[in-house]
Amino acid sequence: MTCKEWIKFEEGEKTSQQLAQWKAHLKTCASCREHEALSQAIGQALVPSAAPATLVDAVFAKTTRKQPLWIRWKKVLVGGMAALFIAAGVYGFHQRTTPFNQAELVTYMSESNQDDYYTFSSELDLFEQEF
Amino acid sequence: MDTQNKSRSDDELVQLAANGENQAFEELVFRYKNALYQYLKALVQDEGAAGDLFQEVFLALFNHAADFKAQGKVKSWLFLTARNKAFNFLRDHKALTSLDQQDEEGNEIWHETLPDDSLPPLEQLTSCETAQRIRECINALPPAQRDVIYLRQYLSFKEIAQMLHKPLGTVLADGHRAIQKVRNSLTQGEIL
Repeated sequence: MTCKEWIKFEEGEKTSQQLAQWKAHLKTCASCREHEALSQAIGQALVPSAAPATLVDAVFAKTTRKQPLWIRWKKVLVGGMAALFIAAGVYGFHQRTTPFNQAELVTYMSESNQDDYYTFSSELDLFEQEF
Repeated sequence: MDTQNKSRSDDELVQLAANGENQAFEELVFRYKNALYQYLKALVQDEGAAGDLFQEVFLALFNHAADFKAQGKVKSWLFLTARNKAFNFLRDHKALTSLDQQDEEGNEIWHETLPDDSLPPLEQLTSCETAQRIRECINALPPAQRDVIYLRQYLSFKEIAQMLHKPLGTVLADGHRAIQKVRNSLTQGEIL
């Protein structure tokens, strides 16, 4: 068998007899020996370094450890609720501090006085009935 | 981590993952993370892009686990998916310069790849062999040749041939051609 044919044999695919022949061939053939040595050196040079843990975590976060939708949106929901409360508070405060115009004030006062009068009147009646 | 999963085959783990067994999927990730990351980094030559593609490969596995049939090809599938994604990335970024079957000089390179009689002795070669130098030489190879060199670290030539739908002889020739280029680069003291 020529070097050209030998070199095409993958180590794992050789029969035990072919492997023995290959080893014998290596002893006598510098170019095949060199090829074999370089293949091994490449294998040693390319021993994989560890993938960054952050990448693995990122994969898990998108697959097996994916959080439920409501948890992923929790911050947004909490923020939204807080914004809503603040807006409602500001609106309420604004409402309380907005001055009445004159017409509104007269209407309010008259209605209020009337209500107060009816209340006072009914309470007075009750008082008189008791005594 | 479930220690039982460590002794399970890839096919078993994929089947379990398809049935919602998350630890089985995680075992597959742990099993192939380093090799796939190195392979992707070698192909795209960009750590950030390799990281993105790495995630895409495992997301694809997670999403398609149910479609797998037990054929002992999970590893090949992972590398093929990684390869496709890397080449798509290179194509999109116009970095894929040499996927055809011609070398830099335009010669048909994929078949006559075996050493000639003028090879320097092993002793000369070993004088400049360092892991770093070899990696530099390999990383300077055209993507398709770099691809075969890296794939060969994790798959047999037979598996590579099946994965790439190429004749075994062609893949062997590709591999030897790439090794030849590395050898020439090392012995001439210059990177390709």
